Formats: sequence, C-alpha cells, structure tokens
Amino acid sequence: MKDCVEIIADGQLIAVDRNITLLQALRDNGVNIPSLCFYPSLGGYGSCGLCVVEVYSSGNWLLRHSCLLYPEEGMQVRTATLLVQKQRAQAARLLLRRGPFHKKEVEEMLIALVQEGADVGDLLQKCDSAGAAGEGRAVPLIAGCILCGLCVRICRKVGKGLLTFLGRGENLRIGMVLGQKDDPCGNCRACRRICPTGFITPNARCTFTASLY
Amino acid sequence: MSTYLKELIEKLPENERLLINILNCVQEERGFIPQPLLTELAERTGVPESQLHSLVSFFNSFRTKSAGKHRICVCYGTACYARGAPLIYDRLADELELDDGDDTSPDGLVTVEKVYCVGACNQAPLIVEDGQIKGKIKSYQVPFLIKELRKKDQDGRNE
Ligand code: SF4
Ligand code: FES
Repeated sequence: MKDCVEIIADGQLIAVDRNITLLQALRDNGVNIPSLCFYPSLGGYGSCGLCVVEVYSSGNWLLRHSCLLYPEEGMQVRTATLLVQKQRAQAARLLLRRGPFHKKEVEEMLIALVQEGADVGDLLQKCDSAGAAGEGRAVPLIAGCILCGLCVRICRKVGKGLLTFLGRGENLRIGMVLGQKDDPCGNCRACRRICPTGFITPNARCTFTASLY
Repeated sequence: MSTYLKELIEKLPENERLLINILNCVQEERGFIPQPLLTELAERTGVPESQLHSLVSFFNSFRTKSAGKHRICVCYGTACYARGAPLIYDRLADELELDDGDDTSPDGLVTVEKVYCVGACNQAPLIVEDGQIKGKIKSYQVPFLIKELRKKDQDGRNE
C-alpha cells in the first residue's frame, strides 16, 4: 500500500510515497540530486552533505539534507537554487580534501559541483575563498575514504558487523574488529561493492588495518 | 576473567548497568580495558564487539594499553595551556624518557596523559598526580616530582 502525499518540487506538483526519503522521492521523479552516502535500503545517514535542498518552513527557506527528510503533505522544496549550489560546493570541497579517490568519476563529480557553486554570485564567492582547499592543509588519516559509513552500515546489516568507526574528530577512521576468532569475515564483499569511492581494494581486511589493540 | 566481569556487573545497581558504566569500572580497577574483556562483554550483552571498540575509541579516558603504577595528567585546558602546560609535559616526557607516541615510562612507573580542563583553572598550570591536583607547577619542579614518586615506590617495595 502506498501512502501518497503531494509535494511541490521546484514549482511542480508531484505525488510521492511518504515512506521513502525525500531524496529518493525526488530522484524517482527525475530530479537530479547528488549524493555519496545514501543507499536506498540503508536509508539516509547525512554524512556527505551533497544532497541538501531548500525546504520551506514557516516563512523561510531552510537548507536540509534530503536523505534525512520524509515527504509531508504540501511540502515545498527547491533543489537548484544559488544557496543549494553554494552549500553543495562547500560540501564537495570538504570531501575533496579526503582524496585522492580510487574512482575518478567521484572526483570529477565533486570538482564539477565545486565549479558550479563557484560560478554563481560574486557576493557569496568572497566568503568562501577562505574555506577553499589550500596549501598546507592537514593530510587526512586515510586518503580516499570519505568516512561515509556505508561499509559499516552494510556490514552490520548483511555481513557480520565487523566494521566500525574508531576514534573521533581528525582521528576518525574505519576499523575492522576481528575479535578472538581467526577469520570471522565471511568475504561477502558487500562493503567493497557499496563503497562510493572504491576505497576497499582488494578486500576489507587489507584495507582496514586500524585497530585498538 | 569471566567471574570478574560478572561480579563487576553485579556490583553495579540494576539501573546503572550500562556499557559505559561497566567500562568505567574496568578502567578504574585495571587502569585500562583489556581486549578479551570486550569480547566477553560482547557475548554477554549481545552488542557486537566492533561497536564496543568504537565506544572505547571514542573516549580519550579509556585506555587500551596497560598503564604505569602512577598516573600524571597534565591539564591542557585553555588556562593551563596558556600558562605553559606544554613545557611541563615536555619536561615530563624528557624526564621519563617517553618515546614518541608513548605515554608510559619504560620502567612502568608513570603514565602521563593530557587532559582537558579539570576545573581548577585558578591554579594553572596544574597536573593531577594519582587523583590529586597539584597547582602552579613550574617545569623545573618536574624532576623533583618524579624523584619523589620513585622514592615512594622504592619505600613501598622495601616495606
Ligand atoms: S571505505 Fe568507502 S564505504 Fe567505507 S566509509 Fe570509506 S568511503 Fe564510505
Ligand atoms: S546523501 Fe544526504 S548527506 Fe549524503
């Protein structure tokens, strides 16, 4: 059974299922929204920040993660405004700092988003030149992984729940906890398939060497 | 190990048997959290071991390596930092011959940690030696502090 609600996306009235995320609903209706950390059966997580849209709420347009929202009756959304582009560019810039990535298309997509955001509005451009990826920045602990958490979540769902986040802040990284057993990983390769940046090669065990003990 | 964990959990009041409280108790009693204990805790509670590792790694106060006999925390809060906490820390590291990334002296006597504001900023810069705050420390006092600890240790052993 489908719970239908009507929302207005970029001025168009569309009917969508209220039980799927706004991101999925918009995509189903042909709206193109970038994302890296979203996977339909795992739901939204809100870590990449690329999926932002503007949602109208009591007189204001607010930037929200569309992967964390569910459609509501009469909801108004804008998906390609200046502000949205700016925000996506900023998110893309931050993600690029975690590169270089194995999959070149990810890098290209992010660079395109940064450029899109840079094209619009001189006024807004000034304020973010400071935040641009510059020289002398700290090298991320594990280059190539954007810490989107997809591998952790899929391993918990279909695998054996061996992957996890370790640490926090700039020390945040993905670790594989093997426990006392010899080879608890079932080699299902779900993490490898789901990783948006292609970081996990050839397998999780070789990739995630971080551990507490 | 298994009775140890069981007894430890049973010591806690029923409504305080949360993972974090259990881990806190272990840390307090043992000075660190041994890996086999996490494996057992995972079995007992049904929480995946990986998530326990995640939890332990999130908090700076949990240790995964055994600690020295004594514990010196150097406060790196804003006030202490401004009044020279790094000088004290460096002196400690020097005096105890700590290698890079090491926090326990080779003889296992002292573990040095950095902590963030213990709430006694008026005594900055300060250290906490085995739970006791020592304020207005000058870096040249550090060798004497260590000497004292060594002496205490020696006396304890001779008794
Ligand atoms: S390894 Fe891949 S899936 Fe896992 S957090 Fe990093 S980028 Fe995401
Ligand atoms: S898809 Fe929404 S934050 Fe990544």
